[in-house]
Amino acid sequence: MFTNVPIQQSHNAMNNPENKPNSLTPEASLNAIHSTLSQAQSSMYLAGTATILLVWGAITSVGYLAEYAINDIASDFASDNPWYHAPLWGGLVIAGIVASSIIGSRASKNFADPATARKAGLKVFTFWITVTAAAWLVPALSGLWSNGEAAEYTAGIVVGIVSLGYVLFGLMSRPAISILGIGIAAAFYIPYHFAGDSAYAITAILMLMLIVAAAIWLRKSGIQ
Amino acid sequence: MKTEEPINLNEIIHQPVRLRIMTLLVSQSGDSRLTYSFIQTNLGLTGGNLTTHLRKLEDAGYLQIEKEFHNQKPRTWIRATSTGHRAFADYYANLQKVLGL
Repeated sequence: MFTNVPIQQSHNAMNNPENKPNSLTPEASLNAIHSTLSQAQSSMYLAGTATILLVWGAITSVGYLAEYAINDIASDFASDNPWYHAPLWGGLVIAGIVASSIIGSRASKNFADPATARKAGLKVFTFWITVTAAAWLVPALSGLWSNGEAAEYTAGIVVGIVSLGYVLFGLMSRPAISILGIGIAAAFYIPYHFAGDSAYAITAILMLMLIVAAAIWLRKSGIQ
Repeated sequence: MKTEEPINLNEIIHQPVRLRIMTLLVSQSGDSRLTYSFIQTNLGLTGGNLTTHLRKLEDAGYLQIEKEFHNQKPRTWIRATSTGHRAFADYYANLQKVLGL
């Protein structure tokens, strides 16, 4: 079972790929151990992500379509009640968090024992609750939610913080999720600055397209 | 002339696929186990390839394979045995010696 592997022999084995047991150099072994550990950790974090992304795609699209409808159809209501953004997005975000927790918890149980799954799930949950709390508290503490004049800037700040959350989560798991974060920011800020009254509708469509594309990519990568 | 002292690397573990399987399993805390599908997805292996390597590790007594039903669907669980944990720890220690760490 054990082979004497003098250091020199082990290095020469690189030139002998057919010799399977020794075809791994010590450096390659160490790298394989570290990369496997990091890949496994990030896969645990990503349990259920493809489905969760689709849920958030639906939620953000409903949110922006509602914003567009309220601004366009009920503009008097929107100007009289500038605080309507808070309950609208608050309700959607709470529904999203509950749905994501259930999906993530079920998906992670397909990977590992409940204790391991819970440990990874708790880290992800804490991360996203922190991002959500920041997206909520930063505008609230700045007085933006209750300031009618400034309320329109709130969405920009919230999207910025959420996009940053995706970028950081991507650095913890899969870099492609960081790109999704940049895409989310672009899907909001570009229409916001250039599309006038139809900005929210365009953002809704772009977000949905972006998130569906990301979910398809994740599923193709073997992440459910 | 000074001869190099040979270092023992466990040849069952010292193989690209089996090394990664063992790494996944021993990285789980305590007696935790992983599903076959998680290992397969993570390592990007075909079912046949994974099964061959799992059998070799099981024959060496390094892991234990358990089949269960969950919601009427079969699920295969893999866990490292205490022998497997010890073998991997020895392998890692020897690897560090080889690399002079």
